[in-house]
Amino acid sequence: MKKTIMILTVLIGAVALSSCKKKEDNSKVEGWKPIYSTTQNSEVETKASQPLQNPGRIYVYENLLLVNEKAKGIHIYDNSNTNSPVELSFISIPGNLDFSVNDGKLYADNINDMVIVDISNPTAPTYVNRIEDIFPTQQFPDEFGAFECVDPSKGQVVGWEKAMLVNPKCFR
Amino acid sequence: MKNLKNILAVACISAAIISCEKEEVTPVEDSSTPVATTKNAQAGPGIGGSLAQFTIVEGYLYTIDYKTLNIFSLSNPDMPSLSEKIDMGVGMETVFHQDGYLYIGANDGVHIYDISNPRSPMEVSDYEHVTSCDPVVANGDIAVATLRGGTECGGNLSQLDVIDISNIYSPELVGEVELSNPYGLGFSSSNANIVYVCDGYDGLKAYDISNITDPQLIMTMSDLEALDIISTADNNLIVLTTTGVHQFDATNPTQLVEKSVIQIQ
Repeated sequence: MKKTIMILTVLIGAVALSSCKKKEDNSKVEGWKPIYSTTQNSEVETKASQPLQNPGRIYVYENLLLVNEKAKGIHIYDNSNTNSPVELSFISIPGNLDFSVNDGKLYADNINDMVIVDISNPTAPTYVNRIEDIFPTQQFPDEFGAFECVDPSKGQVVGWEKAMLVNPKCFR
Repeated sequence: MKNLKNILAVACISAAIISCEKEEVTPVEDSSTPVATTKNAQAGPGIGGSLAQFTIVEGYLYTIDYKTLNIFSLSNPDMPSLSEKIDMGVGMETVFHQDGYLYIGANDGVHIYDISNPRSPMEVSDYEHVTSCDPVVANGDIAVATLRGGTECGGNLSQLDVIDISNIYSPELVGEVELSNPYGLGFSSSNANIVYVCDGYDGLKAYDISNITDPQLIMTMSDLEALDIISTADNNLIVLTTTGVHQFDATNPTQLVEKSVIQIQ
């Protein structure tokens, strides 16, 4: 996926550059750009199913396969037939990157908070609880290199994406 | 090996419970969709990939972030309570559990914690290497870790490390293999001498580590840009790639037969 994004970015970058040959801006470098949360922290909701777009963590719980959609939530698939997993539901959790399941309860990061979701009925997961302000927000990307400095006025950082940056001021 | 036995035991028990439950549940409601049921409240934790930053061990949830190891008690499952917070002072990437020890893959190597007392984990050793991104998994007396170098992670070395952990207080590098673009890794569930390595754009690879000082490449699936892997006791191999989530029959661990793909759309 990262590679696809990178290729896309490079393509878009190339198109952009070729279409405006006169632009003297040579200071564009590849780096990382914050993804800001546009929704409320507390909006945890269950949806029927969502297309898989940017998968992160994978997890097996009994006959379920759970796949994180980076910074967006968790897909739950019925995997009792491994030849044909079927999506049962999608739990929308803004900023979610990781999770674990124990005795039918799912524990997931939701930006700074932890949310607990009951998945004992995986077709209709139910929100249970929230523990606030337990996880720090990472103000820099996981990877080294140039990045666009975080602007807190734009919201909470929920992830990082590759981008062409003009004169980046932050480096890791 | 113990780990494998545990997984097997859990799988057998849960399989038994599920089959019982299905008999009870099916006739009652909505028989149109034979849907997975997870009503048994004593199912315990599931299995994560090697890149996981959350793991649950015996009623405690361990989470890592770029600076902290958090330990939550799940004695009230609806209301976890933070029982310990350890500032690691180093970027942490992954957490893996085996036999009462946590293996934390960090920017500066592998840190091993004794969690026999979950409320106060004790660092028993650290295995340091160059700066890089590095998931780690263990099986019996052997741990394997990948180091992903390149500009993205600092350091410039990409390799598989085979680490002898028979003396947990003094892990020792015994074998290494050069890799291209490694991410997650995992042991085969049917053969503890086989390690699958997700080598990014270079594909999914399998190494035979029967001779731990000299790992041998025994399989490469170069068409898969593999990122992480879960190997379950029923020889199902789940591989996250840049195109989706693939599942393979790994009955023959080096002749994988693709069963399904959840495609990225």
